[in-house]
Amino acid sequence: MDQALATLLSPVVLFFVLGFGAGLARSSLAVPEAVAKGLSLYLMLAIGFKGGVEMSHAHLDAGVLSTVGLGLAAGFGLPVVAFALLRAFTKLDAIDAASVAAHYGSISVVTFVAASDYLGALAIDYDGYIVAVVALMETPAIIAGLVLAQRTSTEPRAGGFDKKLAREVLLNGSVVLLLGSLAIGWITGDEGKASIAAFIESPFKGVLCLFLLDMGIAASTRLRKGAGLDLRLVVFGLVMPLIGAAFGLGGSALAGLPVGTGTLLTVLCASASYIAVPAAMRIALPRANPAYSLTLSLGVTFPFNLIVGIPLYTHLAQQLLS
Amino acid sequence: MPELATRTKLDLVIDRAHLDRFVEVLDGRGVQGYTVFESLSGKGTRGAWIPDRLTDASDRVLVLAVTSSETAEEVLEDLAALFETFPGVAFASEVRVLRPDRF
Repeated sequence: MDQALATLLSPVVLFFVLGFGAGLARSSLAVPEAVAKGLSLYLMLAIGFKGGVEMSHAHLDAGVLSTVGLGLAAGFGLPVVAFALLRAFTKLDAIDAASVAAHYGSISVVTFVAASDYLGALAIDYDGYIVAVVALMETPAIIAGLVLAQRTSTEPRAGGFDKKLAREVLLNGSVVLLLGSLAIGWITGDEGKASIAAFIESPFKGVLCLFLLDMGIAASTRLRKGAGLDLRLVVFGLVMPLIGAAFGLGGSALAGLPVGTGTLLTVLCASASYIAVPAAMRIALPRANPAYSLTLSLGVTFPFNLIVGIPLYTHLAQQLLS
Repeated sequence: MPELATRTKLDLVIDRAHLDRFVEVLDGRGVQGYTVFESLSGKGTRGAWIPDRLTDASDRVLVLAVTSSETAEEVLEDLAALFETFPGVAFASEVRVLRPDRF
């Protein structure tokens, strides 16, 4: 309980709440777009680099392979579950449902960063290779969503995989930066880390606060303008992360992952993308309405995971994993 | 009063993500020039939209092109086919231009 209260009162969450409240109250508070994009680059560079340094200490073992396997299974499998739920319980058509499902199979880097920060505050260690899993889990869901749309939609031009989409998926900016920083951290190791620690360690939490302030504003603005969201969709946005988390926790328990790594894998399975997938879906499924997926993943699921999900998944992982 | 000639103006409001495909049509049909404008917000058949600041997924752009009426008709035929897949709207109107050799 104390642990949960500690999350709610951390600067990271409180800055998100501040942004959210300011957005709801229509305050003029805004983070300039270029600054927000810069902050997101910084966060990915820092998290990738630190993960790479951790990886330079570790060896490839069964834990690594099973985590990668679970991550890929979630990326391909969770969209199918999400799609079935959306088609059964909401009014979304096949193309919109496939697009939303792809968002829920993919991951949110910021939720991951907030969770790793939370684990840090509780002094729970995690394996650095999980950062590589973050990058790997960005894209399978895009392919799954596209296949779902093509298989189920009656529209002849539901979407397709072409060169432009392949480039968007494989060379997506966040994936390139995350994997590139991971490689640089891995190559340069502790010495490299020591040389840029002042840049990537001390300011990290403050930058995260500023970024979450912006996320709060963006989330509440989306909710306020809430295009087409009804109660069933909101319920989906709250239930789907729990289904993802159950998969992540169960898989982590079966694979015998340690608490920290298992918690982060669970957070990844529970989170929904709002950066890489929306851009890819505009090209893959141009007929899908981005308002549904963005409002759900950014306005409903992200705040839920940040405030309720992360402490809940960590608590459950502490009970289930050792 | 300088001499003015009649040409056709095309305005397209489309998703930024699909801009390349529409520009290909203009280039392919030999439109000599066009300008792309950013947009702030708006409302369409799917309700109001706001630009998304984290991704560019819901951003719209305005493409302005002026060309001969024959070229404009060819472009509009291609656009009609594109709009079967990609969302957006297009308007054509008659305008009078200075320096007609540029269009």
